[in-house]
Amino acid sequence: MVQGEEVINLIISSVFIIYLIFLIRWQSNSLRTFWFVGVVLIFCSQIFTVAEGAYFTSLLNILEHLFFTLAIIFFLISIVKKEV
Amino acid sequence: MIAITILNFISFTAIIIILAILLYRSLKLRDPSILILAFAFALLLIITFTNILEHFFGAPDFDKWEDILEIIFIPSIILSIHIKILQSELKNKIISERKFRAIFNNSFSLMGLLDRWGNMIEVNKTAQNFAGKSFSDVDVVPFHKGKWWEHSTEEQEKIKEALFLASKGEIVRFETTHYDGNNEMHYIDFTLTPIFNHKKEIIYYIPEGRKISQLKKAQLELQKHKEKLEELVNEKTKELNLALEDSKKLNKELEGSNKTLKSKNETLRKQRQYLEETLKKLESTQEQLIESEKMASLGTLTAGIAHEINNPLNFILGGITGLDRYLSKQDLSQEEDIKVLIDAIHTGIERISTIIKSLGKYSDVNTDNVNCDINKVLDDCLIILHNQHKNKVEIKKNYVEKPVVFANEGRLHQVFLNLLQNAIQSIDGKGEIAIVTGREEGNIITTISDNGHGIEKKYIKKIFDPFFTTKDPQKGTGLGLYISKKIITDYNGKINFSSSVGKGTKVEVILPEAGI
Repeated sequence: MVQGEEVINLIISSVFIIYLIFLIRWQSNSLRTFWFVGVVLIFCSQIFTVAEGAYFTSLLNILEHLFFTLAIIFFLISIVKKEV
Repeated sequence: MIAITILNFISFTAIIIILAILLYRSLKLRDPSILILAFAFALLLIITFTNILEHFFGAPDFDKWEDILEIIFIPSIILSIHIKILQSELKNKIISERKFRAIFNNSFSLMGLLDRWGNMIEVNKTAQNFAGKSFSDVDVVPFHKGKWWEHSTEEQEKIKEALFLASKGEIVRFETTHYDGNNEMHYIDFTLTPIFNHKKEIIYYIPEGRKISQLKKAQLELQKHKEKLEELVNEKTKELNLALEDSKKLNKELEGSNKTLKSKNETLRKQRQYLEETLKKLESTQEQLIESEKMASLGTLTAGIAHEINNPLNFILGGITGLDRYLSKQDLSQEEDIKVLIDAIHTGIERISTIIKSLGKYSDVNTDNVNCDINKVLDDCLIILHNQHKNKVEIKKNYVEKPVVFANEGRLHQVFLNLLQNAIQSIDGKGEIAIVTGREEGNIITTISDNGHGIEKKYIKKIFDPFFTTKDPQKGTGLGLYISKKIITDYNGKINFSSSVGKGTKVEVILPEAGI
């Protein structure tokens, strides 16, 4: 079952992601960084978090954690590469 | 479940590493954006940790706490990035400011910045160094009341006017003066440029001054030189004009003098010509006088001699006539021996008488012209010259009958005596002279030809020149032919010469026949 907090979380995240894209739009290179991919993967993870309440609970739960882990790895690479 | 647990462990480990790196950097760089990022990852670490507790240790559900933390995570990251961007922009602005300051302060020009009300808010280092003051010393007062212009109220009015024009959007430029820190005056090329914002409103003015003292000095120097040069040119032009005037006057005077000189020259030339002619006439007259005097003396001498010879000759003639009469009375006159002697004496007397007559004619140059028989004249001359040609020259005569010309007999004698004497003298040893008289077209032509040594071609043209002679000084004066030609010319006649060296000379005298 879809939880209201998760939906609100997703909506707020969506707004901030859009704002982030707006913020860095003048730097096209920023969109291709590991850092940005990590943020997008976190966002995807949140989508799966909302979706797992409605469909394929166990599978989407795994995907949620997988995307989260991938996002963290991308953040790590980004930080090691001194992208931020 | 295991897979989720493994993924959570991986995430947890990675986040710890990330956090460690970020905390290290945050401490090292003292960058608030990194600190915020570290805070965001700390939230993630908590979320991952609760997941591990939930899935690995079967702890109660922390989903609500996870959601709250996740809501904070994204804005934290965005805040961090925002700060990062702002920092970057700030950094760029600082760099830009440094660049601007570098250009502004190191510009050769004296530059400043005025706010839209005309107050000085910036002065570059060049201007400060020039003025010997730091910006803090420069009063924040309206630009036209600043220390730059205090030396002249006129300059203050000028800058006020410039600010007014610049406020209308014009770029104003003029030349002005400033005093530097050493109180030395400099010429400045000043510009006031208005700066507009995107709404085309004036937000600043840029006053800019370029030192042009050297240029100005050179210009002033040039101007002075130019003025001096112009003055010099004017002065020289005046002098030239005066000189021109003088030269015109002088020219006129010279023209006048030239005309006078030409006139005088012409007069002199005429006088010279006249003098030359007079001299020639004088020379000719002198020669004639000499010759006339000579002839007169000769005439007087021959007349005297003739007269003196005539008296004794008359005695002889009377004596011989008386002797002849006496001998006839004594019947001795028929004696052959006596007769021969008496005839010889008669012949001698006759010859003496003839010679004396001829001499008398030769000396008779002052009498009037009469009809003269050329043949007789020639014969008289031959008698006079008898002594010179006898036994040496054979005379061959071929006379025309009665060749009469109207002339002075004495002067004709003079001519032919000269010609015959020349012919005789040209013959060395024995020779021949042919004398021919003829009549042709109303003229009497007398030709005297000899077979003497002749005259060289180069002398033919000179033979009528006075004092020209090829003879020894004792034998000739060089005036004979000159006088002869003159006499013949006086009677409208001609005298022609043709000669060939070694063959002889032929003289032709042409005189108009006298009308009988």
